[in-house]
Amino acid sequence: MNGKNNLRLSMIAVVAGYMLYTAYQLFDNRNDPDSGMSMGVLILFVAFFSLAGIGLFAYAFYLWKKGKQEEKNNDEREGMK
Amino acid sequence: MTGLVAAALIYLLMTGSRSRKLAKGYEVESYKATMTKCALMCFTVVLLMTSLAWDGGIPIPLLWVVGVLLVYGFITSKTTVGRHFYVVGGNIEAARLSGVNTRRIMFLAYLNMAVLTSLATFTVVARGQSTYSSVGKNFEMDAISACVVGGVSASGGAGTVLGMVIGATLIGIINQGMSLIHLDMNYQRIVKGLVLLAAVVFDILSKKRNKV
Repeated sequence: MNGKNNLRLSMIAVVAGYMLYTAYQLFDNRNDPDSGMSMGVLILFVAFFSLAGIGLFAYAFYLWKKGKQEEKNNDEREGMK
Repeated sequence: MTGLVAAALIYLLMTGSRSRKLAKGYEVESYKATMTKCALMCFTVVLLMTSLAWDGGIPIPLLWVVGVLLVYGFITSKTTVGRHFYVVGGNIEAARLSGVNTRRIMFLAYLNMAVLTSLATFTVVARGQSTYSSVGKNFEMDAISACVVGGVSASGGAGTVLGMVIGATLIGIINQGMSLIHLDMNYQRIVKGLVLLAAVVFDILSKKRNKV
């Protein structure tokens, strides 16, 4: 895998982490009396950000696996030459 | 006064660039289009400077930002090193085979990153006149959003300084606007998260479209 792909998937992983962190922050503030957000909307967004975070992590993992596979194929091809 | 000087500079640069391109036989936009663009830019600069003059003068961080933008605008568009950054970002292997010293460019890119981070740190600390351990928390997310909104690709090789300015301004307006209207903290987190998510999804989709 080259550095460029590495950079891209680490950025996606960072954003995935941020999505999960946002979900956690929202959940942590659920009992804040100053918050004007209803419980239903809060749960909806907690679920949404959690799913987005997990989805982005899965996509980053998929990119990483794909890169590894391509690297392996390239090595095999060069070995055959 | 500064606004008028800046407007005069914009006019001179734009007309000068147009006439140089014409002399070399390049295709240029019509005189009317150039003048309209120039008038709009001058109007915006004079308006901004007038409002700043009414409100205590030009803030020092703005001068730093303008300086950095001018320097980086020049480096990325007019110098060989600047073009090499794009080439290495676009395809490092092709750049290496074309004779670009990719190790040097990577070194310069990371060095540049360190210089800009220090500059940003000094500016933030000087602006607040004090600091604590969590200053700058989540700034990296704002930076990623601003970059992707401004047209910078996560894979590298694409983006301009002007696009970056537009992206950063947009993110700044969203953040500042939400604070000014006293929006609930939870809603602010949701909006920021959605902007970042939209930016990243757009980047992934555009990358896929380019592959097809």
